[in-house]
Parts: sequence; C-alpha cells; structure tokens
Amino acid sequence: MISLLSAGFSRLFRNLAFRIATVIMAFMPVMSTLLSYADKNTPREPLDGVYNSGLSVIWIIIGAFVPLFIGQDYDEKTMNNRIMAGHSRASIYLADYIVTLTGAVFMQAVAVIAGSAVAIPLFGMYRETVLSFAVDQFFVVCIMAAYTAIAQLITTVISSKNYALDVSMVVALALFIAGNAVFDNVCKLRTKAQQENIAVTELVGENSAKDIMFWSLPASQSDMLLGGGVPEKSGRMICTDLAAVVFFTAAGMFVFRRKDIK
Amino acid sequence: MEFVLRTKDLVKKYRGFTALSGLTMSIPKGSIYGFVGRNGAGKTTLIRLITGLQMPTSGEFEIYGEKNTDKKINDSRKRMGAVVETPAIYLDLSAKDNLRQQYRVLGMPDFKGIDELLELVGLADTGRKKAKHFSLGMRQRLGIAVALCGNPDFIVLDEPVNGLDPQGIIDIRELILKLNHERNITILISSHILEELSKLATHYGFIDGGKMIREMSAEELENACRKSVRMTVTDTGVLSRALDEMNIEYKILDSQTADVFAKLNFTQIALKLSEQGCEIVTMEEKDESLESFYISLVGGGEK
Repeated sequence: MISLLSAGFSRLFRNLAFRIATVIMAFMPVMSTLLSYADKNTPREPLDGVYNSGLSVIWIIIGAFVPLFIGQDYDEKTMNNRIMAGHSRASIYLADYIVTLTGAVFMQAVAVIAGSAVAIPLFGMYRETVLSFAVDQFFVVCIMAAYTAIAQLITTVISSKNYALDVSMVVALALFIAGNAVFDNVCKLRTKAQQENIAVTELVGENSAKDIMFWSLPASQSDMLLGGGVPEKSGRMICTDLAAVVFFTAAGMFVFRRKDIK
Repeated sequence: MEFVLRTKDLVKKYRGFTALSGLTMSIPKGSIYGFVGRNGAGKTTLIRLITGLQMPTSGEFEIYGEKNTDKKINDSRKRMGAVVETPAIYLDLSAKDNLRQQYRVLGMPDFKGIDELLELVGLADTGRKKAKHFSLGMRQRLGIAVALCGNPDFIVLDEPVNGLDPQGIIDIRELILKLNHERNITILISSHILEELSKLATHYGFIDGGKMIREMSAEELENACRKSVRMTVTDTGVLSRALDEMNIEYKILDSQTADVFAKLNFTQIALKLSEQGCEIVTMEEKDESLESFYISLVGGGEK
C-alpha cells in the first residue's frame, strides 16, 4: 500500500490535469476577492468564507480530474504494471482513492492560501474563529470525498479516460443541477415560511424527499457552505457524505476486483 | 525438469465466447518458450490470466509452484514481468521517470539499476524526452525495461515484434537472447510470426482454438521440419545396410519406408540396392518448413 501511495503521489504532482485543476481552484477565490474589491458597493469588511469559492466549481474539477488521472492508467495500460507487481486490487483501488482525494484536498488548501493572500490585505483578517474555519474545511473535505468516490467508480466501470470523463461530467452536472434546484426551492420555502411565520417543516416536510436531498446532495451542501456558516444539520450532512463514500467505494472495489483488465 | 509456469485445464469464457478451452502447458526454467498460434487462438488470454489481469473461469495454474488460488501467487508474480500487447508506460514521462515510477510501485528502496536497465534496452541517451515522442520500437524496449524492473526471473512478452521495422525486430531479438543467456531469465514469447520465433525459441507450444495442440523442444521441431527424402523400398533392411556403407543418416519408419537425411546420389543408391535385390518403389523429397509444420498441426484455412 505504501509503495502504491508513493507511486501515486509522485505521479499526482506531475499530472497536468491536477496542475490545471489546482490553478482553477486557486483562481476562484482570488477572482471573487478582486471582483468584490472592484465593486464599490461591497462593504470593506473581512470576506469570511471567500476561500471556499472553489466549491462552486468543485463538481467540474473533481468530475474531470479523477477520470483524467485514474483513466490514464487504463488508457496507457499502466494499471497492468501495478496488478502484475503483485498488489491486491483492493489496495490499488484504495490507494487511487486516497491519492485523488488528497489531490482534491491539496487544491482546496491552495485555494485557501491564494484566496487569503489576496483577501486579507484588501479586506482585513477574517472574523471567524479557527474552530469555525476548521469545521468549515472538514465539510469541504466531506463533499470532495463524496464527489471523488463517485468519479472513481465511474472511471473504474468505464476504464477509459475520455469516456469516463464524459460520463463523469454528465453525472456531476446532473448532481449540480439537482442540488442547486433543491437548494433554491427549499430556500424560497424557508423565506416564505419566515414571512408567513410558520414552521419550515410545514412547507418542506420533515424527512421528505426534498428535505433529504437538501441536506444530502453535495451541490446543495456546497451552496450551504458558500452561503456562510456551519449548517444546522451538520451531523446529517457528514453522515450522508460518509455513507456515499463508503457505498461508492465499496461498489467500485467490487467492480474492480472482478474486472477483466485488457 | 523444473517448471516456471504450469497450467492445467485452463478455461476462460467471455460472454458467449470461449477463449481458452482446457489449456495445459508447462514452461521449463531457463527456456525461451515460443507460444505460437494464429490471431484469436487464445495466446493473449492465457497471458492475461497468468499475469493476474483476468481470472480463469475454471482450471488452474501455478507460477513457481504457487497455485493461482493461493494468496502467495502475488509473491510469485513479483518474480515476473510482462508486456501484454502494448507497452504499459506513461507517455507523459521520460524513460527514466517511467522506470522510477515502476520502482516505486514495486517498493524498491532506491533507484539503483535504472541506468543499467536503460543501457540494456538501448535507451540510455533519451534524456528528458517523453515516451510519447518515442518510436514504436523505443516504446517496446521501454516496456520491456519496465517489465525488467525488480530483476524478475520470468518475463512474458506478448507479440513483442508486432509493427516493428526490421531493425526494431533485430534489436528486440538480440535483447531477448541477451536476457536469456546473460541473466538466465525464462521468457515466454507469444507470436504468430513463426520465422521470428524460430530464431529465438528453445521450446514451443502450439495453440489453436484455445487448446494446446502440441508442446515440443526446438530440437524436436527441427527434426520434424528437417529436409529429407522419404524412400519406399521392398526391404528397408537392405536399404539400411547400403546407407550405413555410404555413411548416410536415416530413420527407418517401417519395413518399407525410411527417411534419409542427406543429398543422395540416386544412381549410386539405386545400383547398390538392385545388387542386393531390393527395389525402389518411390522417392519423395520432404522439406517441411516451420510454417507448413504448423499448418499440418492446426489444419489450414480460416477459422
């Protein structure tokens, strides 16, 4: 496992898709900060959470990066080298998951650093506490972990860089649209409930499909984080993300272990 | 005899198609085993099974005595390297970086031996040039170098000269011979180019329709393909005495037929035989090439 991780990380930092994805992730908070600065109407107060701007595109980033990175091993048949070297398929799959997720976390870290390097001098130090920041980032990692598990499963099933990229982007787009639609809808209902002074559950329903999707879909979770602050049902969010990771990773490993590699 | 690989009744079925139907074979240690068969005969399927890329539907095999069902097979696989169909290399990395990557995968403690490997396969002077800019022959040699990482004592090469130019074919051939002679590496080469295999192989396995038709040593094959004259005479006892006197090599097949392995002076032999009352009934020149031998084994025509 250690040798697989060593090989994976060595390749990760040379990978063009990873480098481009990192630049895009870093660009998002920087651009967001600069746009706020250029807008004279934006109050000159600390931009808490600006470093999470990359979350708005994380579905594209991971949806593209994972198939491009892991798919290369199928296209160039280098997956064969790892299997023939006597590694178990389960360890190969897990190593790939750890490497790609670490890559995604690294991208977010770069985004935080780049965004902060511009936002703090222009707008001042963030007001949120270190604990709040850490919790925030934990949620981000959970969302990325779920997206990564889904993208890896797709790549494993399809076993081709380009086709996996296409399918992964379609799935990520579908998740993004569904998540945003549910998020917007529930937000409108919440505003309405507030205006009419009634309980939100009366309009959204407790544990209704809409309610579950609102808290579970990664795009909806991203929207909550981008809205600022730690969401109220954070435990539920973490559980659904971790459940997604376990489910999709287990499914991927099952497929990979039985797969005939060409 | 010690065997590196043994398979028994290996079967591999895909949806509606049987690629291997009970293949049994043995590869002796230190040999260059030519695995011969037409396209679709099951050569690559067998290689995929033994390298762990695919699982057999039924049957079993063992590598260095470890059965495929045993977990220790992974340790045995560490002693082998393989190039299956196309070389498994990262196109966006240089030759050296590709080997470093494989060293990491194998968990080697350092990068010792990489320069020597590059030298061995003739890629020492490629520098930082990425593999995507390599010729087909260079990629093939890099693929072999990757397979050689970790000093395996058994390597599997699937159609290693496919698509190569004449110089590329010579390079690969010399490399294979070098690996076998100097490093005592057992080599399994699959190919449908018989002429090329005949310059390398010490043992042969002929496969057709997913079954092993025949296994034989190069010596046995050479004898089978030897140029000879098949003589049918009234008494092979008389013929053998005459041939002994003439110091000519022969093989008696039955009381009336013999194969003679030499250029014959037909008048001289005819006179000698007639002196002893033996008649020549027929004389037929036999010149079976490797290809015709193969065709006689598997039967001609497309399948």
